[in-house]
Amino acid sequence: MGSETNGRGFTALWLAETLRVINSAKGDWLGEKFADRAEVATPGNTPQQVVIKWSLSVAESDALRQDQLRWQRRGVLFLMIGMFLSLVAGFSGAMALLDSQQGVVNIPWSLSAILGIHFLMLFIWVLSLLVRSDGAWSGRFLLAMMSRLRGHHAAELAQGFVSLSQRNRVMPWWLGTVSQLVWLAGLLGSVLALLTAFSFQYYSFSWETTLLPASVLQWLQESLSWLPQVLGLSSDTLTLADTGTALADDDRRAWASWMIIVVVIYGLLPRALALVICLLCLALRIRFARLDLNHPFWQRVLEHCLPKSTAGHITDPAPESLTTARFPKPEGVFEGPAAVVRFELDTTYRIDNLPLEKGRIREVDTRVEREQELAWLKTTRPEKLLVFCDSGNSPDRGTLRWLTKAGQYTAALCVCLISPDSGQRNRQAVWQQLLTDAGLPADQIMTDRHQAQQWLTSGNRPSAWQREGLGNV
Amino acid sequence: MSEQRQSASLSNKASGSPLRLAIVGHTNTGKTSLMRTLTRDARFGEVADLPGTTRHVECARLFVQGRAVLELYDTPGIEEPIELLALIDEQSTSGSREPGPQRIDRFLASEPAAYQFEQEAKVLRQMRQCDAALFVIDARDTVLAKHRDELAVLNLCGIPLMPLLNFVADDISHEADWREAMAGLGLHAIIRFDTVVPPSDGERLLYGKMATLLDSHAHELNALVASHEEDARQRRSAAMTQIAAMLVRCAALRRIVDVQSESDLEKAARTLNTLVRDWEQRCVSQLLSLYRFYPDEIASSQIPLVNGRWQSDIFDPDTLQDMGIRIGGGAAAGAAAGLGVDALFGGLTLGAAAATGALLGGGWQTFRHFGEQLKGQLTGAKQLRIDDNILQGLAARECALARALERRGHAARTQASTDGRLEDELSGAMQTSLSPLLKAARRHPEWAYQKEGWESSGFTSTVEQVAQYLAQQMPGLNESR
Repeated sequence: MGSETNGRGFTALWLAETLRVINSAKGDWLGEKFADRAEVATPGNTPQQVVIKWSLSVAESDALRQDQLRWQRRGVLFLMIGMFLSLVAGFSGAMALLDSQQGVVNIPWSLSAILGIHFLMLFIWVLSLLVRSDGAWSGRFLLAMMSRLRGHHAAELAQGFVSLSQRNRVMPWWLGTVSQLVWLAGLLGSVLALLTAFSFQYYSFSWETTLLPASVLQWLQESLSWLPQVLGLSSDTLTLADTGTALADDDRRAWASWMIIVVVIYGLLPRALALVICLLCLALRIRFARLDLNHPFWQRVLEHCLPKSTAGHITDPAPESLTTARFPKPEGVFEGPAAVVRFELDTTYRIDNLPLEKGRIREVDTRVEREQELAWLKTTRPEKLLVFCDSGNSPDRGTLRWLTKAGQYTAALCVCLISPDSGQRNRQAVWQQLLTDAGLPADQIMTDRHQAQQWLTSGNRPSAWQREGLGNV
Repeated sequence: MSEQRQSASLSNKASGSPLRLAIVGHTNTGKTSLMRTLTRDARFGEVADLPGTTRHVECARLFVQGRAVLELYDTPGIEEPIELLALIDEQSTSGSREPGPQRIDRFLASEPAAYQFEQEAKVLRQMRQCDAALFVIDARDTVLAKHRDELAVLNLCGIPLMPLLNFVADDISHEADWREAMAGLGLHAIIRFDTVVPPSDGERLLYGKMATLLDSHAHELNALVASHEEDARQRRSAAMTQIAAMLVRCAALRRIVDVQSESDLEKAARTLNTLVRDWEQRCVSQLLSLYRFYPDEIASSQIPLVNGRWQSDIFDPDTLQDMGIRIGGGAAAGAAAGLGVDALFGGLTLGAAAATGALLGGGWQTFRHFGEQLKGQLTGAKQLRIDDNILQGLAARECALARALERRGHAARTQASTDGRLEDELSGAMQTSLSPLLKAARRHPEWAYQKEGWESSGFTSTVEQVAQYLAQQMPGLNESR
């Protein structure tokens, strides 16, 4: 199989389908092959073309193409053997038929023996075309035959061929082509046998009947002669002869050639016509043959070859390090009373019971507020500064920078993280981490409001880092 | 002259090069998550609930039929907008009304752009090279002065800025405040999106809105929308085929057992269970890969999979009960639940198709099973098969998985609420109608043992039928629950 008119397109489709079969048979055999894909997705290629290109590149790397060629060669060989056997069978059959008649050829008897089964099979073939068939059973039969083949991937190639052919309804035409070829060889064998026998042996011809009236034979002869006459192959009018009458040499020659012509025209010619039809249909179907891209396997391949998106590539790399603000060690004298900053807090959020005068609790959000607050802190230099932050918002470098700037104008800075009533509660740890990393001691980061208030009202206790700083002095 | 050149370059852009889109926003608002969802790549960049997770600019391209139509640039978060705006104001020649891009360029050329504002400079530099920008907002954040300053800075870049409200599905969303703030800046076309639970037609709305704002790229964006919809359809159909193939194989599965022998029965039951579990597992991993999810990343989600495996065994009666499926007490209940036992009545269960298949096709598999069944009839053995309920359960939960994968954003990282309703609905709908479809498979034991690629045409057509049926049961692709 797979020999006659293998367009490049069909061979490629077949290879692709075989890959699918191999993959599912071997359980994700292609998994690792996805990694080293060739550049197949050139713009303008249809998904079919992309998939086929990809298959070809994979098949190339796996030497599957060679297996396919071997398979094809074997197919051609099988076909040739089949045709040869058929030729031999046709030849010997016809020979045996003539021999058995001992010199006098019974024309209707011999013709029906040579052409009868051929006509019957041709009729069945035409019927099978009328019945909508996907060649299922014949395909399965072929598959069962072919899966016995030895060789690398031979069985998968067979399955790929069958399933592709069935999906595209090519199967009946493949089978038709093969059967026409085989029959053609057989009938050719018969014609050769007739030629050989009539050339080298002496035969007489007869039309015999026991039951039928002679007019039937007459009618039969005339109707059989009609087509050759139309085609201009035989113009002689022949007279029927029976066993009793001896024929003249000319008549015998005429009958012999008439018989050969009849076998050629009613045997070889219809088969040749059928072959041409098969080949035409085959070529047509193959031209429009497609892979079933809806199959999950091809979806995966497409996803791989014709990606809907490419993995990211970095166009502007990250810096080795970022300049981050750090809390400085406070220097100088801080004698101002304690102050509270509500940093980026919702104005509706109330913090009660703060033991401070009104003017010392200040809102900070905008640029102007930030600058004003820093200027105010610089002049008042409070002993203690408590900053309330909403830990529901994500911390950022800008916040950190402001806090560090504020930190240098106070003896002790404490950040109190207010967790939101709902939602982003998990960000508190992030805030704590960032503040600690920037050098704020952990005991100056609070999450409890009451604890922060206590800290504000408690005695003038030096903080951890001040103790450390004093030690250094 | 310059105007002509500009229009020429514009038309060039429209015909050839992809639309370049910068994803910008304050730090920790889910820019990389958005990238993940838009590229359907759960491994894009790095995502964490930490400020400054992304510190570089990363590009991803979206293709339609192999042609790049959209370039997305993930940028670092902006963290010091107030200071940045102050600096830019300071740098600009006081009092003059300079165009924004010029001010940005001056800032980019200045020294702070390399040090303190290195990250912000990356964003602005990228925006100067892009056709438009998506401003990602975490709708759970309150609107603050720094956000307003940030928008003011970004607006200076002179390209269309489209606000995108992320995490709108969350309980606390300050959507109204944000809309008001945006309106104050003349930004009315706001895109709602949720990277974790993207709305069913979210991408269509997103690109559709972009197309109206950037009409020179409308064609490509519409093509992108169309291609995504086509992809979704194809993925759905591939998923249904995958599930149907698994179901048909499970339905075909059977073992001839001697019911007198306890150990024989148990062994056969165990074999069947193992096979079905394996096939289901393969189906799950194929579904995950079809929807481009990685088994290890699906872990904590609304899908009860751990490392890409179902947590509950399909043969556990509780699993089916959870889906509202009642297991009938089979004769093999002692051996295993979920297996049915058929007596081999004089060839009734054999089916004419199997016999003719064996005779016509010459398929060895068919013939071997035919022989086995014949032997079973002679020796009075029975056959063990997978119960209809199990098949129904498998179908329901695999379809629910496919649906969940369809709807899941590639940015999802956290636990979402479990929704078994679809599973229940599906299993309810399939109660009576699935098993007749699988009847053909019951008659073809050889289908179970076929390697998957070795479909006979009968197998393929049954799978197609079942896949079609499953597709009918599934909610529409653009339907929200």
